[in-house]
Amino acid sequence: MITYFGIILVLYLIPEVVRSDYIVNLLVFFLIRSLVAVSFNLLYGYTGLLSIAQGGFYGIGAYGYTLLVIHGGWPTWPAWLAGGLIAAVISLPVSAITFKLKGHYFAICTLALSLIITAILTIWRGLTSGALGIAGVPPMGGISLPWIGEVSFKDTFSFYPLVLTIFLLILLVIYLLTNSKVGRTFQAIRENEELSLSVGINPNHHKAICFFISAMISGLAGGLFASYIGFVHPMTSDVFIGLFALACTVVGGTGTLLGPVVGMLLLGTLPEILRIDPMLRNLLFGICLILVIRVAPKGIMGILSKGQGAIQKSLGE
Amino acid sequence: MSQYLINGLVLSSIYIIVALGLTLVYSILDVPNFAHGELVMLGAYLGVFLIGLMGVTNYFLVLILSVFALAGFSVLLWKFIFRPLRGAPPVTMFIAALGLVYVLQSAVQLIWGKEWLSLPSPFAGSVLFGGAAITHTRVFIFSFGCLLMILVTLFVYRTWLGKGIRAVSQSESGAALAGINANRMITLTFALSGALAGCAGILLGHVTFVFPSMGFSPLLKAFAMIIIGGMGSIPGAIIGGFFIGIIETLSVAFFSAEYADVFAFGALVITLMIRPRGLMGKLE
Repeated sequence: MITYFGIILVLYLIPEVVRSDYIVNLLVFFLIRSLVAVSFNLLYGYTGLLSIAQGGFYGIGAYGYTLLVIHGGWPTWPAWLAGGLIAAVISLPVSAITFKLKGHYFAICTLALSLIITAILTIWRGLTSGALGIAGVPPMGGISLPWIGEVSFKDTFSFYPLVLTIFLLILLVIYLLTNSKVGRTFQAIRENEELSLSVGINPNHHKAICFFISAMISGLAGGLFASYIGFVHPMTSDVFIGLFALACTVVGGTGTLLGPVVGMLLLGTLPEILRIDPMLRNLLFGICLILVIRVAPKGIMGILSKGQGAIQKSLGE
Repeated sequence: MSQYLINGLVLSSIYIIVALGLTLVYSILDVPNFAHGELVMLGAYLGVFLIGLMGVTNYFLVLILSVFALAGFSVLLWKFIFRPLRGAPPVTMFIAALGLVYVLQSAVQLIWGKEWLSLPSPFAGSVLFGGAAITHTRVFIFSFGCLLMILVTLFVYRTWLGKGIRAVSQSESGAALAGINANRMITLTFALSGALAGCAGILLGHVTFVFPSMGFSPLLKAFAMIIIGGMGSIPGAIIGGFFIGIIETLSVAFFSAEYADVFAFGALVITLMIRPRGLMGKLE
């Protein structure tokens, strides 16, 4: 328990130590993108639904926040939550459409829906100003905290603690959810849908719940992104965001709490910190993906837990 | 209007060639080969490279060489990437194919750079047809595309090898009992699929530019085509292909090019909703 608090404290203190705008900026993006991977992992890792629509929900959250604040005149915080909620509500018809599809039919259908979302964001010029995007998205409004006083989130260094707090809270929610009865039901559906049906579980009902929560997380991440970067564009909902989340989750370890985060750190952020050429990065990235699938289907977390098990065994003897 | 229609038909004949390769592999492995679009892209780059090397006068030699190269490459992918994953859950192959997409796109960028290249065609001039000017290249593309569709259909439904492929796609163990070497049939299917991708790549290079991510859009369109037509069905892929082609052309003619995706992928989603096995797909 103390170790966990120590790690969290270190995470909060990183900007104070590195004092580099570049690194903290990368960490902010890392946390936001990790949330997309975490939401993908909830669907695929725990419930067995290979959804490629996460990029679409991310874009909806970003546009929801932007439009509610700029055109709706909403305060930023309710607009951020509403953006996530809009993405989650849109997931309901999506799960109604896809609930009877299995395996890669499901994957292709979600891929198509993600492309449709991007196309609609491009076409609906009256609302989204099309391919021009919307600039000047206001940042999250400041809050007043006890002891610390007024806090604003206008620059990288002040935004980092906010996004880290949200990230840790969502991770906590996922942890509690996956260790609850509902989470175990998700896993039962993943392992064998027919069998779970026979013990009185309604798989479609649970799949819809899982899709709802996961779309909400992606949407909230999109809202954070829009408020941080101050600009949204139809490419904010690009299908490659969902595919990248998939790849990071698989490399990190599907169905583990930290797998998607580790994968994102390794594939998304480490190459940026090391300033590897993007072409070379994608090459390494693809090789990583194929190798992990071939050699370690459980990903890096699988290797780590195996290593930990071996150490414990040798210590026990 | 007739100009739109003809350009749409030419483009959809290329997409159908992509879809045929995709549906052949699907029929035999039950896996959507996400890396198929990258084979198309490789075909186009190989075409640019070989034409640069041998000149546009040797066009048909270039075509044949790149088709054989792509067939060989596709077989290598099967032997070293897909076959070792056969026992794993079906999404595993999907993810491996996604890895291949990243590898092949960045490999091509490392070799040829990011610039958009053009693929010269040996056919100059154009004909007038119903108020629309059609270049000879487009006439060639459409007729070659239709020829390939007929040849593939005849091969799969009328030859002994095609019968073998269909037998393996129906039941691998059943085919093995009847003395068919399933592994050889799958290898043949991958070779055929790669060859079709090679043709499609060169044809596509004539009407669009050649760039590293050029294979992604045809791949997505091909997915829409084979899902509407029925995964694994060859006549289905052709019918679905022309259906998507006409929808796209009409949406370009009446709205704008941006609507094409909405209608094409909307048709995909609606097909999956009301008839998941598509128009002509086999029952699970």
